[in-house]
Amino acid sequence: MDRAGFDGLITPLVEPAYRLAFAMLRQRMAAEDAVQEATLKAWNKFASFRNERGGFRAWYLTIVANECRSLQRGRWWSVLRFDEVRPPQGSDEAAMTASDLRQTIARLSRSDRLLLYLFYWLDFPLEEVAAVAGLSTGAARARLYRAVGRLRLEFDPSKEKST
Amino acid sequence: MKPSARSAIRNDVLADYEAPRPDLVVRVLRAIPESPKRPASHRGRVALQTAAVVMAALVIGIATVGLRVTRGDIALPAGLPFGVGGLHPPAASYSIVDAQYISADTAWIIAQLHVHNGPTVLLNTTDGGKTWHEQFRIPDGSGIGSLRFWNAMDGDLVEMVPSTLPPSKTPGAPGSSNMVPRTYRTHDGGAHWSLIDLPIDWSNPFGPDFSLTQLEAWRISGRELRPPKLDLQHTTDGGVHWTSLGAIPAGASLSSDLTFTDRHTGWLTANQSKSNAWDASGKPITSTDPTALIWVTRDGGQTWAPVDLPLPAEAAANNVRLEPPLFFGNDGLLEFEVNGPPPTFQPDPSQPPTTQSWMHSYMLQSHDGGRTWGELQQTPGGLQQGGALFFDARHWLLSRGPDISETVDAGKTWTTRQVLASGLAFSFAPWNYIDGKAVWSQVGADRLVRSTDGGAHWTAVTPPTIN
Repeated sequence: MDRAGFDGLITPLVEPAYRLAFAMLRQRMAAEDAVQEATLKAWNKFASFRNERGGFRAWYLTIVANECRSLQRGRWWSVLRFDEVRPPQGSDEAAMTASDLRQTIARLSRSDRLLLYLFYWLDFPLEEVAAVAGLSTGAARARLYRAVGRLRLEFDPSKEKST
Repeated sequence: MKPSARSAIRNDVLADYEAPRPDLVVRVLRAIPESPKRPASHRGRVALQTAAVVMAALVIGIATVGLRVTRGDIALPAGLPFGVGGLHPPAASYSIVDAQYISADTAWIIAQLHVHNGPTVLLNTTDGGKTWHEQFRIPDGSGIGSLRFWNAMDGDLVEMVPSTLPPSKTPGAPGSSNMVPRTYRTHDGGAHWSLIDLPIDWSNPFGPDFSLTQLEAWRISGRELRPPKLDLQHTTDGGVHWTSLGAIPAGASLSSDLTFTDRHTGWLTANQSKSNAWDASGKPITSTDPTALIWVTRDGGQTWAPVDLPLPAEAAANNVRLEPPLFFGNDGLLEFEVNGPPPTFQPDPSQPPTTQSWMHSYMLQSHDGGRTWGELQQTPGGLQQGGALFFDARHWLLSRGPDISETVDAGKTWTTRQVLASGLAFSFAPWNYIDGKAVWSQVGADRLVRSTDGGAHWTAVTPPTIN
């Protein structure tokens, strides 16, 4: 496929790629850079793309997720201090819950957070979440379940996806 | 009743969420070259791997493999077993995320432990890495940061932390950035650090674009404005006060690099991108070339003049990317690369058709302080291929993976040899260079090496243990 074909595939995915990168990095400029760099890598690897599990979207977002992880690892950059971001809006009780949730999310592994963002923030089907995370569907479901359990939230993938 | 995971996760992300810039798609597509990098051909890979296996068998027990070539890529193929044929420095149990080397013996590293929200630790050695001392454990250690020592005593450590101000959608207004710098300063070699209160440039919160000394720096402000209104600013008191020097030259791009060789003489570089982009309807978006690729100021940034560069013919229709010029007295070195669209290339009939891209690294030299440039030559590496170190105007090292290409006659002849074990890679950067003999280099994210004889011999540095 030529460059025009690649652009046609990538264009609708830039926005979800940015949303994923933002969720992982929590900084606009960094997220934009990650998407740009990941897209360049996707183009350079494009010849090796086969229609693997999850298709082009999963393949591309795997590169985006890896780029974000690499940014967090390679530069002086770790998970943001979730406990020091802006206080949430709303009642004190709601604020307390949001703050607790954020601190608990921060304690999850990066790979578990990736699963949460793909499933709940990007609304990906579980099969595609698993493809991006490099897991079997069953393993992705089990890890999501455990992650949500640690957040003390309600979990039911089928119910969540149907709502 | 437990809250829904979906609404909780979404609310958590949305509490910080900033939409991307509206032209993100265009900018992403524009940054892609017309053709992907050329993958190694299957035949070439097999040949190299075969040769590598033979070579691996030959070099068991030999510390360093030397090869003499004129030009070209001799990096060992990815398929070679890890750890063959060169120096294999021990790995730290953490990432070395920043470093500063100021002599053959004195260096600082910043370690980020591989645990979530783990501490960020500053370590110092004064005996070439034999012993290390933990100097500073950054409170709440995380975020983006930078470390800069100006001499053995004075240093700045900047950590980016989330802003606590209410968010603002007005570019450049307080709260318009999610992150702000927190600056620590030392005057005793890092033994004690003080948090200093500096005003924040909300349109460019990541700090100065170039610092000449601890007190004197320049920054380009206004990148966030629509349209960008790029203003060059100057400080002589370490960033407490900034004065405007006026607009940067028309035609300089948003990605321009700013550097000063002294308090009067500065350089601004632009990149030329010929990459094509298409909008959602498939219509080509034409890119605009910068009006020059490099400008010079001789009055501290108040006025700028374009400088003519004798570029290779292939630069006219392709992408050009410059490194900031480097000077040894009046002798200047200007490294740049040209990459571009290519002939059709199909490495393997079973793969989808694609095209070959290419990238050439070049060097220009000046002997009159950068007024004129010439002696154009193509080099075997540099820039993105692994980095370059310049001991003086004639002695250069270029790294590529575990290999080093060296010239002692300003690029007329080159010697390439494998220094590190296969699978490892030098990471040369401007701060690696110390003087005509001493050099440190990071290897990957967690290893260190150093040389005290201009890169002729390298020794492994054992990173300290951190709890």
